[in-house]
Amino acid sequence: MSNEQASHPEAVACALRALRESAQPLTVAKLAKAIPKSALKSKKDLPELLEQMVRAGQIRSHKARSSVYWLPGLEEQASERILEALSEIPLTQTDLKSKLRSLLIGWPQPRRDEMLARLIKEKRVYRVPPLTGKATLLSARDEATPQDYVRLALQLAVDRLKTRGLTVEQVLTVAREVFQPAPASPAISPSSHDAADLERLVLERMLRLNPSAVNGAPVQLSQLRQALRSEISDKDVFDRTIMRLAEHGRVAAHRHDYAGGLSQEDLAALVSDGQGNYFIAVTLRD
Amino acid sequence: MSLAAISNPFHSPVVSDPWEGPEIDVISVHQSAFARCCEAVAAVRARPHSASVLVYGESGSGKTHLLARLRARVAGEGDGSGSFQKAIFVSAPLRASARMIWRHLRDCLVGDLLRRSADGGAQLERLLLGLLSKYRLISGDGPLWLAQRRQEARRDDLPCRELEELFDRMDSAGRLSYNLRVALGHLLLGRHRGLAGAWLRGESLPEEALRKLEIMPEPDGDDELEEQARQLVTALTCLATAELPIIFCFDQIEALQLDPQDPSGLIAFGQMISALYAETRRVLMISCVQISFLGALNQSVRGADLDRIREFAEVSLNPLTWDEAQQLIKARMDAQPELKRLRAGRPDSLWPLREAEVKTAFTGAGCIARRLIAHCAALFEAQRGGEAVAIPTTPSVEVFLKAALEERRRKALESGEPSQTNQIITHGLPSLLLLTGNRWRQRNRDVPAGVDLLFESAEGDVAIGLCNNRPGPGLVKKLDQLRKFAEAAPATKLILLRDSRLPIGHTAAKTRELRERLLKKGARWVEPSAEALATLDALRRLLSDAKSGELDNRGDTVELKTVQDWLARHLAAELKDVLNEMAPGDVMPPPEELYEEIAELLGRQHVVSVADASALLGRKVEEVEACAQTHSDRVGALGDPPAVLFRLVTDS
Repeated sequence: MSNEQASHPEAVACALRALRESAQPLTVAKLAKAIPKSALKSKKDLPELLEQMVRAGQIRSHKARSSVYWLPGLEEQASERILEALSEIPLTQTDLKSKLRSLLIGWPQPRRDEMLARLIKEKRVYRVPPLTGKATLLSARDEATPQDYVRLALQLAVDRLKTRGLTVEQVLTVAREVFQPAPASPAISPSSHDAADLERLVLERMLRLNPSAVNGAPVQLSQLRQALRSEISDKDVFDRTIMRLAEHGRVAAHRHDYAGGLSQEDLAALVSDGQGNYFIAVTLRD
Repeated sequence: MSLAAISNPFHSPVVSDPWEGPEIDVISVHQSAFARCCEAVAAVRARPHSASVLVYGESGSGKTHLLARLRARVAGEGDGSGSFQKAIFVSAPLRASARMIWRHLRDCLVGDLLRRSADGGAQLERLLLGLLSKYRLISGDGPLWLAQRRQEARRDDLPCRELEELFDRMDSAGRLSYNLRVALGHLLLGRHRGLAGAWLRGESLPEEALRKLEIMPEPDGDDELEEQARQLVTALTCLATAELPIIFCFDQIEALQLDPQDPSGLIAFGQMISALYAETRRVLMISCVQISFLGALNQSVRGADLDRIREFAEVSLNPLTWDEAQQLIKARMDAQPELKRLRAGRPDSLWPLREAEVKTAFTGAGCIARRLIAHCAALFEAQRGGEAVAIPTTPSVEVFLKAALEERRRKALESGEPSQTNQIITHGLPSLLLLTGNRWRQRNRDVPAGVDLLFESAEGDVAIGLCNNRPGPGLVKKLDQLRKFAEAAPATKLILLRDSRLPIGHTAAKTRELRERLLKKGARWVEPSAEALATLDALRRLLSDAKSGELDNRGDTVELKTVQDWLARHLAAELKDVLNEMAPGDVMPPPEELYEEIAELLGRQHVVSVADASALLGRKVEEVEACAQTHSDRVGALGDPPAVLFRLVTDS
């Protein structure tokens, strides 16, 4: 730590705090506002202090725009944003750069380019074949998925039909009409369900509520009950269905450890086996 | 040999620490959850990114056992096939406050990196040797090279050039600071291990020790310390490679919630996972949580952070099926050769247990492992005694809790260090206040600089500043921040807490002056004793274990509410003293300077005659005698009147 910094410890702390709390790089002017007057002999000392901090590795800047500063950790967050953008849909380099202008506000453009180049070098961003044209696409996955290409096709349709006056919503409505699945089977009243129907319904709804349930993720029983309210309105019927599925080894029912301390209202949301045990969640058994 | 002579195979405890056991492991139990964890390890080896798995389970379902299985597997202790590649394992039970979560993780990470394994080497050595080899800076037998380097290092005091070269090559992002490189060099070469390890953990070292280590002093304000811890954790995790990834296991997440109304601990945890996820590579984070806590987790943690926590997978440890239960029971019994011999050829596969009696532990949903083992222990005991089935009585909750608290207190007294005091107070004090029915509500937002704990109460706000830094610029800065706060918020009651094992010597003139000014403004100075801190540590650990469902009274999980009620009724005398000193009321008299000077002297010399002490401190012999007699609970003295003073060490 340099003498300069040591003489302004409060200013250093304030600058670090402001940078930590900011989601984007900060200019000298913004940092000056975050530092109380008492912490610096003069505001003129601030640029030199910030340079000292850069040299000490506490913060960073870029020669292309040296009046902007950020914490080293913010670069990884920015990289994450780039990856998030590319995990939504693959983009050409030009489209991505244009998108990054709004995604990474405050960053010097050369630094944005460097971060992208680094992600490509580190194989966190991949070049994948385009749907049309010659320009390769950048993607967060090593190969584009069918979903990526369908999204790109839809994007293409939106762009083309825009000239004919169609909005994005209108294009998507047309797409839904074209690909509309067969109508869902009408809700069956509880009375018409037999036990097997109810069990099937519960298992189906578990997966709809949490697709990861297929890999063992739990589904909260209060949410499942709520999701099936129109089909299974009777609490006892729902509870018995869950316990039956557990006994048959189709699901694992997880007991609430501290049910004794819950209110009647909270208990009612859980599933009871009628023997003093209350269950909070279910998972699919292998 | 008869059954009566055989020890109960179900009495060996369930796994409570991933670094212990598992002695008996039935691989088919929780196989799919374990497989997902292994897939996650494989994923961080395969691609340069980090991954995160969330594991749910009822209390006693085997979460810690699963971690122990993984730990044993990546340490090469697994199935003997040697097919599973190694990894660095870090266990982080989250007994921490939101404001110190990174410091806590730093302590856990460094503690486990420096932990010695069966072959005598530390995980950190394995990590660094692996990197040196990967970058072709050494060749051949790494441990042999290290042994030679250490011998050379004993002869001359030169740095390790290979390590310097390694850091230059691998750290283009500049994450490994100069200080960290120096400390890692010392640790690899076996120089100043104790001091370098203490620095790496984040302990405050005197200037002399830093000079010896050639480490530059760093700011030690609260914010800076937390930021330094964060930077150090992310820098150390940069050492992870595809060959040796790092696995963080976060357990006892429930203990972060000091008050059900206060989500700050869980929010901080979510942010920490997101930061680690974004800033590291080749790191796997496994978070274990009780299934009953599912709602709290969903409600308190930000959606984006929750997605990170369960990014790779969320898996559940299901109650055991009857098949799994039978395998577990048989494995436990057959692990004892004498019992295995007795059981051989019996038609009843569970002999000496009876299937129908074992099944009474089962509900329609199955049975969790801990309950099954406790149930079988009781059945085995009854069979061994030759009596009709009569399950021995479980100790009363009162007896169990008394023993559990005492055990934790004993350990805290044995291992307690002033460097842990801030963590103990920030995590333990809010829980203690809740127990006493005190209506102080902790505020975690807009906490002024210098203040560590801020409470709102009917009598007004109460701010607590922890002043446990070594006397020096850090402590002066802290007291100055508190002085400014006291001037800006005169209505707030200010309490300054300093570990009684850290006397402020007479040379710390600026510190003393600032403290004096604060006391004149009405601040209280409270010095909790080592005993009080050990009891507070035991209390927070007991509550953390209860929150995470780990208080097992022979198969019965003791509920948090039961523990809270019991603790409230049996609050230890020394904790009552600390609370009484802190409660708003009359201003406390300032601490006696002479006592502090004597304590500081004994901290350096341990034994000193009264005559020498009076000469060294420039006081009259009678004054020193009187002071030692007044503080006989903290200053050791021989003779009447005292002739020799000595440093009193806490009796565990």
